[in-house]
Amino acid sequence: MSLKNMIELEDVWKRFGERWILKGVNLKLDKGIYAFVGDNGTGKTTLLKIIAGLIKPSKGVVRILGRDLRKFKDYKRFLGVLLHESVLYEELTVRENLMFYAKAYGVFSDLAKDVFNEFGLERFENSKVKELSFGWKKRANLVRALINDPKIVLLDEPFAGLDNVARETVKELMLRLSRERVVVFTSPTPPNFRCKVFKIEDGVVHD
Amino acid sequence: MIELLIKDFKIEFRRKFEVLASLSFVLVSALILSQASFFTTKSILIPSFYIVVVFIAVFTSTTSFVREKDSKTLEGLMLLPVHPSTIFLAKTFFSFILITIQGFIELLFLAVFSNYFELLNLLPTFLVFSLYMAVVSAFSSALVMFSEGRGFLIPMIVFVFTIPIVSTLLSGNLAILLIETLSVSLAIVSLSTYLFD
Repeated sequence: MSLKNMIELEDVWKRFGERWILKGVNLKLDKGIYAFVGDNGTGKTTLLKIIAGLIKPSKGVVRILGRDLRKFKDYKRFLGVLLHESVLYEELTVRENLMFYAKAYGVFSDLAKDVFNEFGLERFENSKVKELSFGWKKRANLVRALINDPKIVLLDEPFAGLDNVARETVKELMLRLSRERVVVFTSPTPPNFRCKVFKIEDGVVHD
Repeated sequence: MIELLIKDFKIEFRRKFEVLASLSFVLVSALILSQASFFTTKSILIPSFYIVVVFIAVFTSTTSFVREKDSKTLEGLMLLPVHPSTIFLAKTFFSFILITIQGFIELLFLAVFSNYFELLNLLPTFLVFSLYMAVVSAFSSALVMFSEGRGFLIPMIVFVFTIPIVSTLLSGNLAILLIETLSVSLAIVSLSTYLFD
């Protein structure tokens, strides 16, 4: 699979009500790690969700692996998405949640298993998600995002709510993932490690 | 789809308060209706039973897409590599099983409390009606999940969709009821793809 132009946005606009959240975004992202940095409400999450196919752009084209998202039925198999809020079911255990997603994707990747062990989630394997702290939920959600060994990893504020040790672990993981994948994350502040930063201001993306 | 169903049932049965509330509703309504029937005619129990099933369908709507939206897990579902209509079908089957179980308990207790066992002859019609109500329930839940006024909108949509089928239901014509149910189901399942867009 070509790692060139894994994500491509061509003149993408998004409007909520009367307000334009994104104004003519053009991006081409290959293998590597990228940060969308901006204050709250600048459109970072909206941009990430547009790439994930969760929100449709008002105008413009999104291409994943060179194919137009509107015609690419199977694109979700190539994506791993961590959203800001947990998408795990509170009444189910961590294991039940991960098994549900693994069966839905038809795979529980070695990558996800390794990250599960690396995060030390074994001790919460049989705990219900509602019994976990925000930080542990975030770790479990990150494992869920990697369950299908995705080529494109989209992370919405991956460091929010994590302690320093966990932040460091997640940072190392992201850098490791970016060697063979495209990793895109959002952050309200510029990251303290080497990556390509796109600043988002008033719906416009700056290099 | 099976995984979605299993997941929904695990969640449903771990919400003990809701299970208890549903059972209480079914038992209390069966008791009240059966007592009321002693002062009128037994035949009044048939439409009364169907009205209870409509109420059960309204309650079931809140366990379908609305719950996914409220618990913020809907986006996780939307990220799965499955067609939206598969998710819709899974939710419909889930609603069908819930409505059928609760409706069957209602029917059984209504027959016992009122000593009117002919009510059990309604079983085939009730099963088809359950399917119809399950489709309507899942549809209304999907339609209004983003609306703040869903507490008002869900019962309204369910009642509006129930009206066209009332005459067929009360006439007891199973074949026509089945045709109507399948037609509405087909139309709604086709629409479900666009609902998620």
